[in-house]
Amino acid sequence: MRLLVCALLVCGGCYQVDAVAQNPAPQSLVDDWRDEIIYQLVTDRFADGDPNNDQSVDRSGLALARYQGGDFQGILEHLDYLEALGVTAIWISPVTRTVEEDAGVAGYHGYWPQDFGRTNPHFGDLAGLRELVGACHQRRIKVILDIVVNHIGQLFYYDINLNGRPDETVIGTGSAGPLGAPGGAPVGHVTEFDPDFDPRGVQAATALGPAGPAPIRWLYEPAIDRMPPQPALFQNPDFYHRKGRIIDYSDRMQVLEGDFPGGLKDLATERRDVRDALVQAYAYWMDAADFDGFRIDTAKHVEPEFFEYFSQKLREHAAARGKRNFFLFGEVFDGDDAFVGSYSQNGRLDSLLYFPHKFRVIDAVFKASGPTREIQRLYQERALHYGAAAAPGGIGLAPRDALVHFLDDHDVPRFRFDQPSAPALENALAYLFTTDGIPCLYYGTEQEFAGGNDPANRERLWSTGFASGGQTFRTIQTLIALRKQHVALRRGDLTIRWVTDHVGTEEDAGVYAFERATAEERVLVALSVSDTQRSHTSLAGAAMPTGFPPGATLRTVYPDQNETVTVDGAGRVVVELPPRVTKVLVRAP
Amino acid sequence: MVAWRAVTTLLLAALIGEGFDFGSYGRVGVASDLDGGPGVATNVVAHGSRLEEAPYLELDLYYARSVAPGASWRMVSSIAFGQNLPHTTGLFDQNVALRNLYLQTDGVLHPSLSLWVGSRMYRGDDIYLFDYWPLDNLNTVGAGAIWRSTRWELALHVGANRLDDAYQFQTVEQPAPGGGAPIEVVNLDRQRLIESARASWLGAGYKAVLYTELHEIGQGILTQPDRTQERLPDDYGFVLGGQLGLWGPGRFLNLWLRWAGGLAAYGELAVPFAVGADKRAADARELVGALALGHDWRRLGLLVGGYARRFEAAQPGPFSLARFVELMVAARPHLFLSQYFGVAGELSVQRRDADGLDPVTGRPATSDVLKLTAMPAVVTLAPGVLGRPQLLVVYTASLLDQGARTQLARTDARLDAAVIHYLGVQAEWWFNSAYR
Repeated sequence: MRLLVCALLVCGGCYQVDAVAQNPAPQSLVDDWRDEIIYQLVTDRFADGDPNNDQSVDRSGLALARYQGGDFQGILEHLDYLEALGVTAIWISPVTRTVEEDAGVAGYHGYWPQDFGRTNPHFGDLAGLRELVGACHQRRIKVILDIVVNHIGQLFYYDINLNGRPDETVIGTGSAGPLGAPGGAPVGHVTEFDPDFDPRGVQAATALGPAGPAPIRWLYEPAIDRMPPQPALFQNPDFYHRKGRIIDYSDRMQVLEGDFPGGLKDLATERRDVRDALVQAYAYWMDAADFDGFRIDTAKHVEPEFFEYFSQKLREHAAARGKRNFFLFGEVFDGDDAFVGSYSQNGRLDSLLYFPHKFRVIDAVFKASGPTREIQRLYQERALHYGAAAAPGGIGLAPRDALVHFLDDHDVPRFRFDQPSAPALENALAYLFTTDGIPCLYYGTEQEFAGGNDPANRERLWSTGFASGGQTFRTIQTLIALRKQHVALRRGDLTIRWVTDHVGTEEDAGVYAFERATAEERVLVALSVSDTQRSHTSLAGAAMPTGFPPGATLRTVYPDQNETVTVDGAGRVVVELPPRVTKVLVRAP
Repeated sequence: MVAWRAVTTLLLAALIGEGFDFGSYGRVGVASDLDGGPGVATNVVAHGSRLEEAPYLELDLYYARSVAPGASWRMVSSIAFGQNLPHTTGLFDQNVALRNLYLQTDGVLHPSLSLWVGSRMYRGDDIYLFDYWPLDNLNTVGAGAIWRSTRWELALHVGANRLDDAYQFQTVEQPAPGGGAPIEVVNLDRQRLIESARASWLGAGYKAVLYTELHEIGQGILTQPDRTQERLPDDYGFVLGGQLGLWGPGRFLNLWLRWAGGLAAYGELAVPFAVGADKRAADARELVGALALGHDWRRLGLLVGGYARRFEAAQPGPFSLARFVELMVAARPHLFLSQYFGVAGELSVQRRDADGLDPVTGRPATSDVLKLTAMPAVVTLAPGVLGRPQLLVVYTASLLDQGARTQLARTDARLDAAVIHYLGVQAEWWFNSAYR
């Protein structure tokens, strides 16, 4: 009947839906994740391609805590922009249905899951998502999905006073002020949405005293999608720790079992049924849209052992469907390198967002022009803290060789917020694209965005008109092209050649130099993080050793190609470094 | 040869003599789902069976007067009541509308010329079984001119409508100039202007119609709740179509073809529910092929209706539930056992194939409904399958496929029912009606 009707009405679209009606055939587009350049984008903020899903959108572009209108169609329409920049993979914010709004803030970011199996209608539907991933794959752009395993959105409350209604009350009058009385009870705020952590589990209480564990009650507000979670098995109260909000981040148990701020209810990920439910939920997305990897949100708040099960199951699933090198990397938002690294042991995760590096190198060294010796310290710690062997069925790389390096992301102020210097940004970018690991660029960096903390760092990209002629855009283009051109910059071993504690007017102030080398190629990168000092890779007459042979002539390939230096007879070389300049040198032919 | 002018003059004279006259169209009934609830319509297409429609009444009041031989004028008013009946809600809250309020002159300025001004349901022929006008069905306040010759007729019309929707109309609160309570100020008020032209050729037992519409709406500014302003662009639409009608004693056949674009594809009394990246409906398209057939034999009657419709909402991207093909076919045989009593049945099939995925199943959104209707008692008080008034008992079994079921709410009692029942009694009438 369909054929007849279509023939009669000469409809061109009848069979197009077949292209997205089935799970796409898995494509394994990655040989080595170190070859990839990841571009992190917030789906709601990249491009608004479809005005029909712009309900409740902020049209002024000023209220960044509300939906702005970006969607799958918008990303699809601007793949040329991403290709021009040179990135090879995109990491998109969670696509599943979330609570629409909570406490006046919209769930545009996707980190408040309500339905693990449906797309957020603000972004588009499953067909649109498949179309986007398919189009990316046609251009060999990989797509990494951001996923949440730690919590669900604010979908239930603790019925502390057992009245069947979510209450927020103020208790006590204190002993000061117009309402105070001598010896008055301290003023307190009790909210059944988000009560303080209680290791026993949130307790019910009435005026007469304790009343046992507080039951949880699912909320039912369809207007803002604050509905019981889906699939229905997530409506089992035992799936949650039910201990209330984290109030002491130094208490590891709270971090693991407490509700994330904002009333995000913590999943009891130590339970086998919870683990299986999460595996099932995300295996579905692996099949439904053929993602190339997952970035796992709030991994810090999930016990590391969870990932030994979760990752194994997903890897098995990927293998069963013929998908190679499915990438699993997590967010452990912490500066403790040993702690972060623990998530990469025992095959837990292929990689991690390198937060210790972000704090101790990007912020302390590149932003603040701190001692570059800190880079070396952290590099040396890496060998102790991060997995030295590839996870079975993983990406074939040891986690310590595949850490995801970044300057900033959606959870921290942008680089330029507290370091507005353009040369400083270029300096840091040059480092990012020449050091080891996997570089990750937060959207908008190429447009010189300078937003502060969330949501100011989640600006609309389309306000820029996707201009590609700006200085930073072209710099990134050049650096990415350089990285692609030189396998040593992607896969080479890293050897640190010069670090310093000097940050003032010393001759090597701010200098950091390293080499990347494969059997076929060697690249020298020398940079200065000093804002004022002209430095060089030498101190008191002692020049920098290199792995290049004595007498070799080195030519800069970045930032320009006019400069040469010669390695002396002792295998040492002096590279002159103006303030905030990075030089990349290869052996001249 | 039928003299067209004579026919119309006779019809008008028959329809409305001098002075006041009255007409009506109405349908009313009650039904059960055989599970304690009311019988409800279950359709997946835009125009389903008339048998499951809600109560509706039009009261037509006319006044006509001759001013000279062959020249006359008439006033036509139609008040319509829809949906709620006090006996089903306990409330006196009928929806009421003035669907016709116009004055028409015939033969005043010229023997062949009629002129009208007013609010008018301005439409052609329908598919009775679906209560659907596949080619032309305008509801505007406007004016028109109809020129009739012996064998042809040309009707021109221009009118406007404006929905009470933020798409076309908005008031905002502003401080009163003299202080005090804030005042409501019209912030947005844009009419949709529609022009139509209809050329008909009439012969012995046939007519051929060519038809066109143009729609325009101007730009405007909508103020959002947060006081930001959204620019609404101008927009337009069109319809091109035609009809071939054949008839003879006790039988008729109408065939229609309609091609619409832009605003007109959504219908003239509708807000475009999807727009393109430029916020215009310009890329929307609708293509409809339809037929209606009726035949009366001595004791048997048959009504057949069907349409196939391709609709494409104006929206970026090819995959959408708002892009679909739908098909509706129904046949209603009627056996007259005596002059006034008979039995009838109806078989209908409806299908919608969308260019998108069902949000529940993730599979292509196709849905089918098969309806089997028995009317074991039909009292018809005028001859023929379209004879009215009519009283009838109706039972419909609707069979929904999985795709149709997924469109029901998760808590809908019909979700798990193998068959959805509709058992009821109905009455329908029309006389002297502006409807027919």
